[in-house]
Amino acid sequence: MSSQAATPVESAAAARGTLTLSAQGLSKDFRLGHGYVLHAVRNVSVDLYRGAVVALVGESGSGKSTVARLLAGQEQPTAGTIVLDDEPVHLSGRRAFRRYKSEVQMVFQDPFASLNPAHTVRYHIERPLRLHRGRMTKEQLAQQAAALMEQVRLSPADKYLAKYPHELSGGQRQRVAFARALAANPRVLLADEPVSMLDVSIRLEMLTLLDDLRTRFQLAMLYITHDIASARYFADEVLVMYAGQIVDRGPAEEVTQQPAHPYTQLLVSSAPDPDNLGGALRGFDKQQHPGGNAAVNGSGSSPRDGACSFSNRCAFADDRCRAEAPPLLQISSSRAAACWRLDVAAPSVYSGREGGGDLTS
Amino acid sequence: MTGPGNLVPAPVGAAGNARLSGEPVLSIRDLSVVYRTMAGDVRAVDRVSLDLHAGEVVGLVGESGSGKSTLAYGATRLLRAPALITSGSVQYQGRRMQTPTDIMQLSEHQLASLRWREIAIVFQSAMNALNPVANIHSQLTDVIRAHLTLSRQEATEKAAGLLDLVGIPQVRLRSYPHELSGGMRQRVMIAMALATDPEVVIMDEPTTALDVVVQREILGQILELKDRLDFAIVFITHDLSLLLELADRIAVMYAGQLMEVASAAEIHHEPAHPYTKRLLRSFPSLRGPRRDLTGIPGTPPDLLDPPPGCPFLPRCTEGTDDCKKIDVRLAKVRTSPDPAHLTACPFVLPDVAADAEDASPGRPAVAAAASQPSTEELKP
Repeated sequence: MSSQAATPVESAAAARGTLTLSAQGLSKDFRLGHGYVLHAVRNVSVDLYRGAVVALVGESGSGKSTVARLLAGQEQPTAGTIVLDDEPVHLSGRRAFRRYKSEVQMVFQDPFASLNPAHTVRYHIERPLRLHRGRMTKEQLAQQAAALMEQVRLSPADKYLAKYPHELSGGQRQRVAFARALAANPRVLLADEPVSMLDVSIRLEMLTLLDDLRTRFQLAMLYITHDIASARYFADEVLVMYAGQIVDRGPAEEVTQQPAHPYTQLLVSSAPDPDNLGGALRGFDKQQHPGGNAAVNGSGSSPRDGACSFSNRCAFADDRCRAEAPPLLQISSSRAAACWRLDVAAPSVYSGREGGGDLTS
Repeated sequence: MTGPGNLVPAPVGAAGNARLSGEPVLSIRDLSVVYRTMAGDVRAVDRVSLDLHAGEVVGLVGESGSGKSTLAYGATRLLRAPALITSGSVQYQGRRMQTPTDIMQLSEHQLASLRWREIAIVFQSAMNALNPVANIHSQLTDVIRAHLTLSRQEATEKAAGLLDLVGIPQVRLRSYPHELSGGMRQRVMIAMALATDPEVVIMDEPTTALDVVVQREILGQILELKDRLDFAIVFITHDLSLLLELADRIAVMYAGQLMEVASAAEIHHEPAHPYTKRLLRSFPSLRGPRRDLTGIPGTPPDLLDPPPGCPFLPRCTEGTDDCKKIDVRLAKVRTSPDPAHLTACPFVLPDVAADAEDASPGRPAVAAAASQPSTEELKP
């Protein structure tokens, strides 16, 4: 890998508010035994701003959830720093962890698994209230729990507080999960695929609710998804992740409408396109992506150590790509991509870059 | 009995629509399925009629609990108690058969020879449907030898050929499911469904758990195989945007009933039913200008005690009191260029879908129709 890519790229989310949570150069290795090491996250930098949504998009296994777990303090990073409100985060000891947790909360993908089936909704809401909001009377507790239920539009609150998770629909359960996260009064919300387990007709409602909560509570939000189309609508900035690295980043509309990195292009072209009935599906990308999916090709075709991790699937890869991994190269003040061959892969993005000179890392 | 020699090559040209005029392979009429519970009958599928033509891809779309899987499994009699088929017939006319058979009348023994041989299913949890302690070879040859009379050697060759068909190297025959990626396992399931050259393949959310890139490769492969081997597909999903691209015709299901049936292009450009319209505005689009997204607030009705009239009424923004009185039934959308465009909402387009279809069974030009012989005016 090349030198640390300390990108001077300004996040598209920065316009919304002040920097709340900042992670620089995060890496996480998992030891698999027999000397094998899995580099799940490599040199990832994420900045979350008050009242803004940053989307982390990528395929399963790309390391999105690991980034969320690192930011949530569930895993210790192998390298890199996390800064919350200008203070470096050191999660040594239970008190520090709890203090951090009251600022940074997480919502998980599966509302069927993330709620305890043996407890009522009231338990799920009141426990974090008691842990994170200090001592209060029983009445205050009940009142705050009811207020949270109203915030996630589960009303009448008392009816829902008395229910068990199995009595609720998927959408209602996810609302409870939102309320539970908000109970800690966090400033950062990490949402790991919060709607992908829900029905299509409900997804939008939940995203609207999240958007609403983000505005009302001025949350700095990380929205993890594999659905790049929802990121277009919901996020300010989109970070595209591949094989543990950020390969493309920029304002949501720009990344989705003018994808720069070849992987982002593949992701965008793979989304269903109702305007192209049947046509694109037949003979899909036979020429452009002869390698197909890395998993399909098996481990035999995985890129060499040090090479660009997408080089084995990339139609534009040349000798340099197979020898040296590109750092995030700045395209404009808010846009960057990790690709040596942007001039060929995304000529319109490349020629529109500011300054017109070579890309700098 | 089998082998490529028996296969009729697919006609060249636009698939699906051009062949709508032929006799359907599968013709579901008035099918009702209930789940019998202590609290009463849950009406999971309520008087549904739908046709599937040779080589056609019919998409069945709906929310979870709308009855789309129950419809498909009911039509193939794969449901067991407490599910109960209370009415309806399912005519199957394969090209290998002299006369059509009513699947509802078949004995268990006859069913066993129909299933897989004629109608195969790729199950919803296909990722986990493979036996973890048996290798791909034994699982494929198991199916082949159960339904075809082939020697061990021939079955192995056939299994290798099937893997070739779905683009998996033959050496993978010796692999166990955990050694394959999700996409590969899905391909194995598709290969397994195609093992006996079925005429109808029912695919129940076959790509839901997969990444978009892999999903796309597999869908492309499914269409390619369909064109080559000429089978018809019932594709069940909750992703309407996917169906718009994939399917020839789309049937929109809600609360156990069909709300709209039309060609994919019609559903995309001229949806008639309010539910379809709302569904179309529920998913963010990646291309084109950003549009207002509305979603569909509310939840589907309780099918244990469905409200009278249109089941979508509580969530419908265009509903009136008259909607409580209608008998939900598909009727033609007269203004539509698609002669087979049917909707269950008689009010949304005045004077358009006013009269119920008077479909005598076996009328060839009609793709899907409410088959009750009585013609009553739906308009008040």
